[in-house]
Order: sequence, then structure tokens, then C-alpha cells
Amino acid sequence: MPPPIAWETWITQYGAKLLLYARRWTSNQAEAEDWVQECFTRFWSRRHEIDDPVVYLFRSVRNIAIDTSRRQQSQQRRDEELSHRTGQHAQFHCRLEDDEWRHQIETALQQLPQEQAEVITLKIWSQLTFAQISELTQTPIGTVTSRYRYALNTLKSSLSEHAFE
Amino acid sequence: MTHSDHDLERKLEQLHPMPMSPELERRLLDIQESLNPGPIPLDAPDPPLRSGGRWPLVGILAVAVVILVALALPTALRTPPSTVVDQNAPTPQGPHELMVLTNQPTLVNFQTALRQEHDLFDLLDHQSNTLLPEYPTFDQVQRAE
Repeated sequence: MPPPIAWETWITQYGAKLLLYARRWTSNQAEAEDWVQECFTRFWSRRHEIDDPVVYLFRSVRNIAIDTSRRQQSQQRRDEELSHRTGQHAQFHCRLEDDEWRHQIETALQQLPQEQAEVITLKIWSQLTFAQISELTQTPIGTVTSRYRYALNTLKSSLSEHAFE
Repeated sequence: MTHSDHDLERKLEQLHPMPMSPELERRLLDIQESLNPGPIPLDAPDPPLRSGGRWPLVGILAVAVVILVALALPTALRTPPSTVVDQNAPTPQGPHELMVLTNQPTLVNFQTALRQEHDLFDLLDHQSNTLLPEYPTFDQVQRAE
């Protein structure tokens, strides 16, 4: 078990990553922030009984997202429509010259199947291992790696060629 | 993983998740204070008691006291019967009557009643003796003959 880390350290290291992961499930930024807050609260109250705190944090966000979407599917759809109308909150932070690239990535991620976008997000931007992603999503590790490869192929085909220059 | 896959990975890694808003950071730090309070000073007042603390025991004791008081109260409030015999009341004529009047069969009253009853018998004996006709004795009859 890793040594205990201060609350601020957890927030600094994983706050933004969890928020991006939550955005895979909702386009509503305020809702995603509420999930992250609840996730940190759950985590902190049970941190001494958790084997892998990182997996626990991301799994909490996932469980909250799934429960919420089951409860409020119609409401969530209305929120997403409203969010699309009012303009999406950016999911990534980048230099100004990369802003077009950022926009392409965000659009391409939205077009990916949910499970592929989830694996890409967890692997690239949350820096989880395939084993952690497998444990987190309760999916065999072979399936996880396959989804990752499919996602990369889909992104490559959907992104413009100049992005690789 | 092909070469182009690694290129795409590197390109994707150039993006970073959008930092949390200052409002969310503040909310999380506020939560920390409630989740992980600092050391409590020695002169700090006692925290409010919650259910499961001392209140259940205090409540049980209070209920027990109320029940005991409720049981003892009627007995305490009941006026003890007076042991003073009303002077204007008719004089009791016997122990039983005295006991009925005073509703207190004490030894003193019983003795008083006995004494009064003996006096009454003495009086009756005296009256009967005086009221009985005086029959002549045998000597008086012989003398008269």
C-alpha cells in the first residue's frame, strides 16, 4: 500500500484527470465537477481500506456516472442538448497554436464508441496501465488492449493528415 | 502498435486535461476541513452529542425516575387518617364502634373503649341491682311468720 498522501496532493494530481474522465460520461461541466467532488469525498472517507487508490478514484467516477445516467437519462439528454446549444466547455488545455488540434481531438473522441473513448482517455491522459484499466472497467485485459488499438485506428482515420506533421 | 500509432500517442499526449476551475478547487479544499479537522484544543467545548452517545443512557434514567415518581406520588399525597377523635361526636360505646368512628384500631383507643365498656357494665349492674325488687330473705320470712 502506498504511503499516505495529503488531500491537496490527491486533488492536484488527479482532479483534472478525473474531471476529464467524467466528461466522457457527460457534457455538462457542472455535473462532472459534482461527480469529482463526490468521488473525492468517498475516497477520503475510505482511503485506509482501499488497495489501489487510483483505481478506486476513477471507478468512483464511473459508478457515479453510470448510476446518474440510469436515473436521469431523459434529464441528461436535455442537459446535453442545452450544453451543445450554449457551447461546449473545453476538455483539454493546450497552447494557442494547438487549439485547432484540440478541437479536432475533442470532436473525434465524441465520435468514438463510449468504451473506446474511455480506454483512450484512461491510458493517454489519466496515465493508467492496461491492468488498472482492466480492473477499473471489470473487463479482460485483452479486450482493453483491443479497444485501445481500435480507438487509435479510428482516430487516425478521422484526424486530418496535417495533425501528424 | 505501428509507428503511426506511437506518433498519434505522442501527439495526443501533448494535450493536457483542462485544470479544475478555481471554484471546484475551493469546494474541495472546504470539504477537506470538514473531513479532516485539525487538532482539537484542550479548552474546546464538548462536541454536540449524537444519537448513540450518552443521551440514550440519560433518557433511560429519566424515564425510570419518572416512573418511580408516578408510582410513589399517589401514596405520598394520600392524607393520613386523623387519629384525633372528634369531641362533638357521640361517645363511642364499644371498641368496635370506636374503631369504626376513628378508622384507626390503635391500642390506645382499644384500651379506652374497653375501659368505657367496663364502666358501662358496672353502671348497668348497679342499675339492675337497684331496680331489682327486694325479695325477703329466708330469715325475714320466718320472722314474719
